[in-house]
Amino acid sequence: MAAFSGSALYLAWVWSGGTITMHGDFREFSYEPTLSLIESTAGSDSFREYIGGIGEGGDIKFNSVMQAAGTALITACARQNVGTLLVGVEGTAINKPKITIPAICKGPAFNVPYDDVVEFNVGFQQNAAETMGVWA
Amino acid sequence: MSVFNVLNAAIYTTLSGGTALTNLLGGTLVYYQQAPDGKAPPYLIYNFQGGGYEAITPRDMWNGIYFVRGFSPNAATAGSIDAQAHALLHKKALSVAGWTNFWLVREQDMALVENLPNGKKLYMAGGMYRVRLSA
Repeated sequence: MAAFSGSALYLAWVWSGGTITMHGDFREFSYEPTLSLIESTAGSDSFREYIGGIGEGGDIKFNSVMQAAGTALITACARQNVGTLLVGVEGTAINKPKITIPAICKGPAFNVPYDDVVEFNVGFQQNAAETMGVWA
Repeated sequence: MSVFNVLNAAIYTTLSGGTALTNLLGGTLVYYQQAPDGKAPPYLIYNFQGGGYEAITPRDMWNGIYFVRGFSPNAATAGSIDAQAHALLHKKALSVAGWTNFWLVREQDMALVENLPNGKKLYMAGGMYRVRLSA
């Protein structure tokens, strides 16, 4: 086993308007699902206890360097667009991890510094259970 | 892809195409790194000062500094050469083969005088220009 960098990330957004790959200019991508917890602390318990509830998708954040006249990504990532994210954190080689995440888009965001590259950012909310698999 | 040859060519083309500059120099006396041996000033020298690739996205990006300055036996002429180079470069876009130049800004000014072995003085005036490229 060996550590690896994020440079091989594959990220595609499949929505009603088509499929757009997003990793070409990415700087950071994060996905952090979570779980609804049901507190079960009772009686003389001295420590708070939980049992697992239903799954809950956490924030999915994408940060990239925007390309001039890059309207396709803006269109694909419009607020309320619904679709599926395909994620390959090690790329798409056979047997590398593949994560399929149903999601709804929160809309594009921009960071525009005067003396640096303009960034395109977008967030997604997972809205169904993800599938953890491998690339075939 | 390496930037040296294509970026040097772009800077040379821009500077040597500046009529006001070449009129001051008395020709296209624009040189990379150093003037030919024995060349009498005025002339303009530019060189790569530092920088390199930015590994911030999968796309190649480059960020470096070029030092562009005029030399003359007269301080005012050196300053005028610098002013013309500034007008041609600062906040402009170079045409660099294979790259897009999205940032070209003068960041620092420099001026000094050299006392030559023959007792004459050689004045220099110029600036450091930050160049950023995206593939």
